[in-house]
Amino acid sequence: MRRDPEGAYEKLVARGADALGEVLFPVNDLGAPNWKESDVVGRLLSYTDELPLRMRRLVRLQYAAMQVFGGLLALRPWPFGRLAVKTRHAAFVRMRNSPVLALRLLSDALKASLQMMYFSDPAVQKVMGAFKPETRPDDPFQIEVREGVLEAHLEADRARGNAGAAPSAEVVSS
Amino acid sequence: MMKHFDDVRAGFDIDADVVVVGTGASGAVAAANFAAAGMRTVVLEAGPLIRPEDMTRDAPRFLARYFWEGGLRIGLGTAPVPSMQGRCVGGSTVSNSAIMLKLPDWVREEWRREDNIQWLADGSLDAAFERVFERTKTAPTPMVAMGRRNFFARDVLSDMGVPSKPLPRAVSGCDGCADCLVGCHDGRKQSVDRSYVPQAMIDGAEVYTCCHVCTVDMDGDRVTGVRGDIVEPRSREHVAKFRVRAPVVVLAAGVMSTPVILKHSRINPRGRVGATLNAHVSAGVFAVLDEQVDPWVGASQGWGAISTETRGLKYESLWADPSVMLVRWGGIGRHLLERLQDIRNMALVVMVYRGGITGKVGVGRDLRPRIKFHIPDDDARLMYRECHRVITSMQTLGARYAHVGNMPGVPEDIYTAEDAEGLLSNRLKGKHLTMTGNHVFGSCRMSSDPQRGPVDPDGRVHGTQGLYVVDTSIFPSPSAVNPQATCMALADVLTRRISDLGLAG
Repeated sequence: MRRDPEGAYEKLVARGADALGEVLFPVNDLGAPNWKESDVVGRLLSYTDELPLRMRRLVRLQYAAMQVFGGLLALRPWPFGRLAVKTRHAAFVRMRNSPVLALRLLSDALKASLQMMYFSDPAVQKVMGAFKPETRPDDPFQIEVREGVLEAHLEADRARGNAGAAPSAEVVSS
Repeated sequence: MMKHFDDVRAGFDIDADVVVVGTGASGAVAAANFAAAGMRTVVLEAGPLIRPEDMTRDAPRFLARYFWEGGLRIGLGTAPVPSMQGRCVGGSTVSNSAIMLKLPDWVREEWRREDNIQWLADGSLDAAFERVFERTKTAPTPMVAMGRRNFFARDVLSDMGVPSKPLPRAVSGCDGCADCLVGCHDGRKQSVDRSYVPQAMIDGAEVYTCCHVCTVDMDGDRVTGVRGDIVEPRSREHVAKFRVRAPVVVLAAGVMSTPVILKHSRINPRGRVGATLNAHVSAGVFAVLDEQVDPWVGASQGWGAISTETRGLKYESLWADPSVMLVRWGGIGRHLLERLQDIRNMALVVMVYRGGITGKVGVGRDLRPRIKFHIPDDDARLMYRECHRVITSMQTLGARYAHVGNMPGVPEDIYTAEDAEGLLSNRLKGKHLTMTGNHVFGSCRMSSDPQRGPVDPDGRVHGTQGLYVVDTSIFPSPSAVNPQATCMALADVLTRRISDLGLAG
């Protein structure tokens, strides 16, 4: 579902997302995909394509604003993407801890949308260890399937001394 | 018969005996009842039908396609509160956890007494609950579908001394895939697109998808139909107009959209439409254990309890895709990446409290609801105290650390009892609460007194003839439990009464 930016404004949005993506999901030796490997920018653009126009504009505006004004958080007159990654990291931390509510909310929103993209990458979910008990063959989003895990959890629960099966009458009722 | 976008893209102008706006929990029940009564029933849904092959585990994409405002709807006020409503055939029942609980007797009595809704005492609501539970195959979540995450929630509640049980859900043979949020691919969940809507169509109802109702037409005080736009399901582009003429209009567009439609139509008895709004106060505690929990399997919400100490407080287990649930968790950079593998050891207990959240719904640009919530500090503090109790039990049971959100004086990761003490501080207020507003009600309250609510005890908008509201917007106050069963049962009673009135209005 990756997509390259089109037009000057979308490129600005993409540069903002790329600059923040490197701060949030940097190159690492932990085995976790970095921001480029999980293509958070391409998938953010593709995701926002699916949003209603107003929300699409709002999400993209946040990244454009970050790219244009983010440098000011580090007291530099340059675009956010031109700062060194360490400086960007420090600037974003300052933004998250800012006494100005609007800055905290913007940092929350930026982190949330980019983390949404990162966590919805099947490769990242693989690192988390995510799997499902059954397959969805027609879903482009494919995730590991493991059968019998729930049965194993029930057996382990019984082994801990729990009854394992509640009478049908014993359900929460108001 | 169901009409899809390609069938309606040119627009239409049709007649009906009754038009139902919305195919969510209450609209589907209404449509099934009217169709069974032999009325020519037209049902209008703003979103598309989601077929199993349309469902994806790519949760952000699913939300963007099938939720109002792409799943990014936010209420403002005390704090930003995300509020998600489904925009598809079946509405939010397609993507919720299908918990089915009866309205508590004490709430029902409050509604009867304070808003003079006398039929709440005549047994009709109990009969409606029975019908709804039977049609939706409501049953306790099976033990084999629980998984370690739900068992851990049970153990936490047990340690707290709270009696807890498997939650009753509208699911037939849950297989514990924890995919409730992104639609039940194999049809086990009895969302109304799988239960009531097909029955309505068998009985002759015509369902039109991609039809966004904007206006209710009136002739004096008598309703004459509805009008709106045909909406392309992906781009949301408005491509044509439609009109349905009918002597009875039943609004079931949901707690946010119903007041918008009424206000846009300049129907606002005593200024009460959207002047009120309630929501349950909610909070959640994540625990990271030393053992593997595999939170991605097991019923999304399999275990729960109703507090016997604090009236109106409920506990539940919960899971949804990490890309939706954990977007604010984990810090940034290497710190976040180091903890990706903690997620496999994670469990979550959430609390829902009836509380006293108030708010209102206005009409924004493009007919978007403009939502405001006020979260009382006392309610928030009760939730912080409960979070503290839950964390204490989680720590007793061996949780390595817990997380409740980002708030002043409380570490992001709570490792020790001392770390959790900050939750008991009076410095914490409503504005610090990390909550979601998915249990929302009361934007068009039902009351015999028009000063208290714009909808009368028959579901009719005060001062009109033929115009009814049957969704959660008519709840006079919060239900104290998950609202789905109550809104379906209310819709069942009210639409049977409307049928009995012979469309007289």
